[in-house]
Amino acid sequence: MKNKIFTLVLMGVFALFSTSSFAQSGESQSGAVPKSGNEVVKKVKKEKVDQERKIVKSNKKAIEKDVDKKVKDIKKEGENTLSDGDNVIKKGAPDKLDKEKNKVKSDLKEKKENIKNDFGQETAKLARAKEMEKKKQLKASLKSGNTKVVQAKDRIKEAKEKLSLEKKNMTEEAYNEKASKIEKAELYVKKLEDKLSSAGAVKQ
Amino acid sequence: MKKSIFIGILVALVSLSCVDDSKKKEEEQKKLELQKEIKAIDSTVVELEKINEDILKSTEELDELLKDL
Repeated sequence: MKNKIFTLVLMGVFALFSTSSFAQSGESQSGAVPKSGNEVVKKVKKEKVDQERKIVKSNKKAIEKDVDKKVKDIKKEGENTLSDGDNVIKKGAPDKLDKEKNKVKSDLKEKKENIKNDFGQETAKLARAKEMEKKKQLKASLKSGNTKVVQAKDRIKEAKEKLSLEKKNMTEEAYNEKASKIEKAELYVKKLEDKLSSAGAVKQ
Repeated sequence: MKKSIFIGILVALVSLSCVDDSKKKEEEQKKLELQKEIKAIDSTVVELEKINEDILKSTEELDELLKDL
């Protein structure tokens, strides 16, 4: 009898301990979520669903495009094999077409499953890829901008020299106009240089 | 003896449900973290686009000015 009571008490203590410890771990994990977390979670869920829909849509489009291309290729191949002999096309081409269609369907299904189960990892992956692409674009713009700055400096230097040579043969008004244009260009070059340096810092 | 077995099973069930609950919470947390990361990346992308457009615009304007010189 004593043993039974002891076992029951032990189990009760274990149950209490496990419940409280798991509850605590749950609380600590969800600590980042504010009290009005339900609304945030709902909002985030809605956003996620929208994003996933977009991804599925884009994936579907890409896959459909791929299917069209493959169908075209197969048809083309069929046409090519027509010259070799009629039997080859009648047996070969439709089978291949069905195979490709099934493969694409299974790919699409697999992708949908992955999107469902990956907690938005696919979306994050796409977002990272987009970020990389934008960084590359910015890098290219920075490069062309820097080249443009160097060219502009040379051009301004040339224009200044030319203006100082032609000063004697020009009216004061024309001289002032040209000088102000050069000044404006110089200001723009400086502005662009500043923008390029700050953009370079952002890109890092 | 039967009672203790019953209580044992009960305890096991409670423990399992707690584990399941904590796993769900963990997954939810992961989702939230990913969403945060995605949001941050999206805002960076918008910023990068803005800077890029600005630089391209300034370069074009400078080009126009240089033509006048």
